[in-house]
Amino acid sequence: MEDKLFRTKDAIASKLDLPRDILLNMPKITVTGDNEITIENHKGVILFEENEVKINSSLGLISISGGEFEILFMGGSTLTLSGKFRAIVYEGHE
Amino acid sequence: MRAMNKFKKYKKGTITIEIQSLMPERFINLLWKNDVKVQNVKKTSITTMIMDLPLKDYDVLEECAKKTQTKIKILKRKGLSFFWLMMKRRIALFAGIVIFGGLLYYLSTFIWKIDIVTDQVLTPYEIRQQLASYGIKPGINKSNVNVYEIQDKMLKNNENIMWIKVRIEGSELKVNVVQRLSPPDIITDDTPCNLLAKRDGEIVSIYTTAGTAVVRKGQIVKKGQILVKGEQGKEGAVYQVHAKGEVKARTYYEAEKEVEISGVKEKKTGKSIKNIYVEVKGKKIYLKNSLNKFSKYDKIVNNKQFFKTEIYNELKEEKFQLDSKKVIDDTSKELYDKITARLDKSIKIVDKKLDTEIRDNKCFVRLIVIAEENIALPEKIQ
Repeated sequence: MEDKLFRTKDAIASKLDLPRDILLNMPKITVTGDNEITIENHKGVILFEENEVKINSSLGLISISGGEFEILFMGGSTLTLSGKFRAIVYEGHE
Repeated sequence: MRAMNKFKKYKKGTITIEIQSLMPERFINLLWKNDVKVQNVKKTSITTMIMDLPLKDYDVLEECAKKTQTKIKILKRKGLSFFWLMMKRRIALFAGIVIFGGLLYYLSTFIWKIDIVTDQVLTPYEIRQQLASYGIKPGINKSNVNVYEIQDKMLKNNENIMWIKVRIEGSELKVNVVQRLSPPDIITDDTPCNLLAKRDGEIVSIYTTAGTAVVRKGQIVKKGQILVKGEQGKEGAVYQVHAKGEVKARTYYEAEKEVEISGVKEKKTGKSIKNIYVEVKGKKIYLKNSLNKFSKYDKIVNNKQFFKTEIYNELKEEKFQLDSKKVIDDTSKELYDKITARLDKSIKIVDKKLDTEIRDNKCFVRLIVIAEENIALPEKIQ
């Protein structure tokens, strides 16, 4: 049932050329090189470690491994993280 | 709620805090859920984090800290809000700066000095008085001063001023004045007059611009004699004029002196006696009386005060003999100085004549100074 709703939404979004991230309530992730990542529509920081950061989202956890992490900005629905990234993993699908 | 209001007004302040908690992520999420914009979050160790957040959310921060059992330490404060907070504490300093600036500005709207530059005869005092009569004085507000109006007024009311410039320079009023120099009035005296001789003399030269000369060169004239007559024209058609001219004459100045060359002179020996007495009904009662043993003496009586005194000075006769040549030289010099001291600068000394005579023990010295001068003196014709 939910799957059907999702597909309908997706279809409308693509047909009407609407921003899919808002309509489908999915996080929008922008990565600049290997040192900055902006996640919109996130749902909080789950883990903030020396070499791993885990951020919750509607897709599940997004795990970023690397070092020198720093949250540059966190407010509203946007989170900007900087550091030296090695991997970005979507853990929700495991 | 009241605590919330306390920090709400500080919009432009950021604090850097260090938090210490077992689960710092929980604390950050709580802040995020409360809509606090957190920036520059850095992990320094497993339990501590450093972050920046706006001052206005301090109350939320405190609440969250209580909930998650987090210790907060403020490391840095920056922003305009903290400046105002500091200023609140130093209100006197701040007010002083404002008052100083305000006062300086206020005082600069006044004129404190009037600087006047004039030339020659026109005095700055005169200009200052005239300005004062228009109400322009040190201490006047600049807005009440219209320099062009002052210029016009000054120029109109003072005929000695040819050009004037009045300008405000800072807190000074500068006045530059150029004076009008009117040509001197020529006093014309046309009343008919004669020229008379000022003193006796022998005419050396005569020159007239108006009138008729009645004396000739070489003639001896007496004081008061008419030299130039205030008349002109042919015989029978004579008209009166204001006689003018220069009559140069040789004049004589004379002085004489008699000097004793030899004789007897009385001289004080220095010895003296002083008697003191009181006078009662014409009788003298001596308080101190010494016998007068001097054969020749001077007696000085002082009877002005109640105690009256008599002083006897002993005198001695002395014979003296002076060098006659030296006496004549000294005396003639003295006489010459005496004459020339009284002479006008325009009088030219031509010659001097010395006349000496030694008779008995006396020397007579007579000095005549011959000079040349203008002896013409105008006198109205009655």
